[in-house]
Amino acid sequence: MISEALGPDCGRVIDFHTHILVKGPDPRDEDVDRLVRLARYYGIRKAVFQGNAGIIQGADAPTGDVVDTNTYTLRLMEREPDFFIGFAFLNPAHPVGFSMDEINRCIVSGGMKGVKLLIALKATDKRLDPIMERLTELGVPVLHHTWYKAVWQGEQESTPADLAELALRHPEAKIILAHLGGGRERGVLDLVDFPNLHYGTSGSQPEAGLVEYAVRKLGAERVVFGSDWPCRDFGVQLGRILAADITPEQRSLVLRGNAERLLGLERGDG
Amino acid sequence: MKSIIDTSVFCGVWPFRPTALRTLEQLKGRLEANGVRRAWVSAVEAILAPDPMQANEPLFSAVAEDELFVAVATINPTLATSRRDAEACIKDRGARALKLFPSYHEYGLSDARVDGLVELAREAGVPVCIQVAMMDQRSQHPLVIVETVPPADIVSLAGRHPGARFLACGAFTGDLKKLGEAPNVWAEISLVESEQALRNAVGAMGPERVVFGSHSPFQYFQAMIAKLDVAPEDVDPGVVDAVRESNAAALLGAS
Repeated sequence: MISEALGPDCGRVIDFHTHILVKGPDPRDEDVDRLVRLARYYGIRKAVFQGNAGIIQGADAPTGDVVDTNTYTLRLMEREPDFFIGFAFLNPAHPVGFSMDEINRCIVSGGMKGVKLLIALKATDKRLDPIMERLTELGVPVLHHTWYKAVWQGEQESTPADLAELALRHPEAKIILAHLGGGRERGVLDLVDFPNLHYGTSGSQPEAGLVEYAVRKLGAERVVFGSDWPCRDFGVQLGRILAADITPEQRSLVLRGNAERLLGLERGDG
Repeated sequence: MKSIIDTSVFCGVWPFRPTALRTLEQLKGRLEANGVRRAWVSAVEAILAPDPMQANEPLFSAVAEDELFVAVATINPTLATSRRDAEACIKDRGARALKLFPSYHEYGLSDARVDGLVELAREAGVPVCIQVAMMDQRSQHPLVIVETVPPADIVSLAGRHPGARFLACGAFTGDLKKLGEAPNVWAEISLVESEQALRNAVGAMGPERVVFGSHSPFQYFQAMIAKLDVAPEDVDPGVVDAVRESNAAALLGAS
């Protein structure tokens, strides 16, 4: 059982990567209840939620859809304030003024804790800079999609190397790359020299050896558990951390300690 | 700890990824520690070897007296001696299943030579495993991009041989609904993942034709077994037990 294997981390895990893949501003009870019920079954205490980003990923996505998905997240946070940690979805191809307004609405006023960027623009694009500067000023992190794909790499889909370039421009920003399982060893090596880059553990199949490789190369302080539910299964994604050949202390950092630090949360001591 | 039949285990060296568990002894330790009582094992080198028998033979010798491992013969039906090799694997070397890698061995399942092998397997009473994919296509070496086997091709093959039993290995979640159309096709769940992996697999294939597979040593075993850790309201515990063990026993023909 995952909950037993988690030991003292059971009920204290923070999942840094969840979605509900629907469109519009209004959460349905059954969707929310299922996410929360399943997460708690597997010992997850809180989840970073980043809206229906998969549906509004293009550079030409309407700003209204971004407003809707962020409103959805704000409503989730109101409904389950102890469980959801909201991240605002932004599209850096949109006008800077719009993105700043969304940051103010969602983070400054709404209590969200960070921003999610997907594949609208590569991280090397300078249009990300105003967003990164504002997030650095606020001290909140960005979770950025990344992947190295042998097939189907999107034209604007960032690789971990692109995020290294972003980190070079914004060395004080807190940046978490999604999808260790997509960047794999090559992605880990891209991050080594950039201490403000962290790797989220989701992505693809739970290939044996990858989590301990990341911990060995980056340090446990820079590896952060994320499931990418509902694209993935909470149990499987937790299993890849529990199976990794790392110490209990390193495991706790990956499962919750690093997220607590990056998000400015109180430690989940039970 | 409840016992498990693992229908998808590989032994050997895979050139695209270093793995920690390369020997039978290492695999055995990991599998038995997690409750596996039978493991269907094939030779990973047989996938890329010029003649799969070069890898089958040493594996069969090594597992001949072993209670844990069930020998699975990798056969390339495009080779001149494939039928003779398959017969020898089953009759003389103790193979309990045949395994095909259509994408790696460059043939389609509509090839008449496949039908001949399937008939041989049916007559011998052994299942035919068909490897849909070895890994996420996106993660393959850029110089070795191998297509996945279309589930419709497996269903079509199964329809031509209603008396044969098939196991789809390495199928993805999106393949299961199609695979479920053929009553003589089972699927192992090593590469199946979604928001509720087991619930969705059983929903697509039915409760009797989903079996456990770990795809060891390429994936974390504890992540694979986590698919069986589900709340009773999501998947009936009796179904979970069937996936863990009895469905695979039925597919093999005996435990």
